[in-house]
Amino acid sequence: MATPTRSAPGIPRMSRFSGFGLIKQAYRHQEHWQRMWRNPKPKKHYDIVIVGGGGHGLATAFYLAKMHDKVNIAVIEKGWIGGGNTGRNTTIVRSNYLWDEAAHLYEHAMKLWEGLSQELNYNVMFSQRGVLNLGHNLQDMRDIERRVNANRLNGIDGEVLDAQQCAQIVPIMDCSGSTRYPVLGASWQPRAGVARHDAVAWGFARGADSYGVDIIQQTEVTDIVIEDGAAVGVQTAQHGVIKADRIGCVTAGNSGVLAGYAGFELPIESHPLQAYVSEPIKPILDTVVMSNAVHGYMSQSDKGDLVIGAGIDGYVGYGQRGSFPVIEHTMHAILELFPQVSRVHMNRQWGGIVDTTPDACPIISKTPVENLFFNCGWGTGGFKATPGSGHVFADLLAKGEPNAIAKPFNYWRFRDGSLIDEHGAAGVAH
Amino acid sequence: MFLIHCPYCEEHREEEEFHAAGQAHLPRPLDPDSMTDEQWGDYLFYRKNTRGEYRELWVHAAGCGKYFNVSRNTQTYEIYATYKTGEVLESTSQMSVGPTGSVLNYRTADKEGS
Amino acid sequence: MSNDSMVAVMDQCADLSASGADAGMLSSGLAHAQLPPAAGTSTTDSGVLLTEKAVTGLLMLRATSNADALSTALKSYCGIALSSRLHSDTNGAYCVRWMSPDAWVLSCPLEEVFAIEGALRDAIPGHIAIVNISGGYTILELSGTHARSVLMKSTGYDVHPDHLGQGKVVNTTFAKAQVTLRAVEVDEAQGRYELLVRRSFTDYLWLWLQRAGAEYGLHATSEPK
Repeated sequence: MATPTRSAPGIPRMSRFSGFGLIKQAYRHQEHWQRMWRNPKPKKHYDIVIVGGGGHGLATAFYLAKMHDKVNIAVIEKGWIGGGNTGRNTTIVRSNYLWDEAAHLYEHAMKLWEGLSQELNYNVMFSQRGVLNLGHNLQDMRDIERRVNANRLNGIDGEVLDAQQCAQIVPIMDCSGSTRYPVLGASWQPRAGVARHDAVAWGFARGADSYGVDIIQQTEVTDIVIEDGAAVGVQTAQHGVIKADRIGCVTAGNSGVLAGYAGFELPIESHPLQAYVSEPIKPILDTVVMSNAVHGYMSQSDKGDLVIGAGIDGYVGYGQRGSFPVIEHTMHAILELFPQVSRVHMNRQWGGIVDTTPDACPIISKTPVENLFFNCGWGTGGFKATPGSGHVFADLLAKGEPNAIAKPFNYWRFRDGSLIDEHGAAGVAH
Repeated sequence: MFLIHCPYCEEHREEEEFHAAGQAHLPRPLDPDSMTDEQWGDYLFYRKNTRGEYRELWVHAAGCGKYFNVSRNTQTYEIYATYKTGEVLESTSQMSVGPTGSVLNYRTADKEGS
Repeated sequence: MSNDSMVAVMDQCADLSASGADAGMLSSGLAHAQLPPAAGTSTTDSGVLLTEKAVTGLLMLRATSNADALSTALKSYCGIALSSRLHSDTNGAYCVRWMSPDAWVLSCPLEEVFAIEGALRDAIPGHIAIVNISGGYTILELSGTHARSVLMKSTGYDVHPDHLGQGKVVNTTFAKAQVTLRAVEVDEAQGRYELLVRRSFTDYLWLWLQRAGAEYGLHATSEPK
């Protein structure tokens, strides 16, 4: 049974969401819903402190509590939970990565996604509507065949489609031969899709809280306290020093800043990556279309908004907005594929700070500082890995040693040369 | 949108004419063969990635094609100064910053490694 | 050629006098698209005139420590020295454009390009680079009362005469492409501008300029070879 079987002392038992509950609350004028998570005062000491209350951090806390029986845990978030990249991505979930190491990691996440709403008793609106990765030239198609074959050998679903099959799946896409970058075909992962990003953060927060994890918002970590080469706690701006036996940093774009507090550098550059949402329109797209060569991707949300993304700014930046030239470039790419959306208004645009590594793969690892662990470097593709990332990082934090999935993603691979070169093999190059 | 002062063209130009080329002042090791894997890895991949004042290398790709250094705040996106490669920038606290963030008082006498 | 030169220099226009051929690099950068004859509206009321110049001799000149020697040599052959930052200098059919602190582009009649290249190489003993880029670029010219308006639609560079005055030359972005933009003759009322563009971008930019200039009654022509 996935839901908590017991609560920590003093923690109110989480009431289960159900259809019957909906009716009951409707009759009570929706005024008696249980609070989703507490707003506790931080303790002086925790077994494990997780810095960063995004999807990955909350998932880590949830799986630590659920799988490893650790409940004396705090998640420290400088803003509000899910207010960073978790709420700023384009919600795409897929696992069709080329190399074994990455494929195992993302497929691990995919399997967790498939049962996540049940596991959390919270609807994360995971919709396996499929993802198309388009090919526009012969080399694209060769790469697609290679990737689909590699995926199948790793037990990941995938198909190579021709242009006609693409047109059948996405009738509004310009698949004619007369375009500047004609669609020659695509790779198709039917199990891929989208999930509601806020719900993922809320679901994990609610789940972790019900086990007794303290979620401490509006608390910024300003330093990492190190004694004799080992991390012993974090300095916060609002609540002073919070001690911990182990510290896990899951702070995406700000990972380099935290590493700086601990006195080492990461092989990471932080860049703004933008997403765009249009005004809601009638349903025109019931899958996800990504194109590496034209360089853009688009899906349609349940509300009817077109959800669009593309490339990162070419320079280091921590401003969560992104630059104008990239907006123009993205719109060019989308209109190349979907000329009929040229009159659709863009409603909103925002940026998240992605932590890009040289090999486009994450770092889930011990660090030069003892008892300090990092889960970072997810770059432009972290959302899809949320449950898997939390699952393996929880394992690392609980045991102190990486498991088989996490092991290749260690901090030292950039020095010994064992990089996992997913760059260019991912859906959209950044 | 940046307006960047190219120290070679001596004009402000639009961001679109430039490319960022990563952290500045990373001199290529003179004798790579004698380096350990750790030193070589550090040189290739590990970066300061500062949130705040950061020194970067940019190239005026669509203009004069020259590389130059930029001192920029990665949080506020304010450009403090641009200066030629081989020049040394005084501390930013004493810098005189113009209306578009690029008027500067940097020292040009000293040469540095990169 | 100087004997100690390790550079093999070829006369890329050797067949010019022999055949007078309209072949190879001598053909228009627009030939494959058959653009000029179909382009343009009436010549009366044309606010903008777009001209594709005949293929011109172009030399990319690069020098750092030998820039002074190169400048002197250029002065003796073409009557113009290497131009200063963001400026061009013209003497009859010769024009030298500043591209970068250590690079200039010289334009000259196609027939003379090989001779000038050899003469400059002979004159400078030290380290320089001279490359014949005649086949790689096309020169387009925009003129008329609305030429500046067309530029304003196409580039982010400030093209006001106070900023882009006569003789000034800048490398900049132009309709997503890169061009070398030179103000040949400007006053308040009108202007004549030269666009030095990569040959492979010529047809794209030509179509762009046609569309951008349409509202001003653009007239387009190709200069006879």
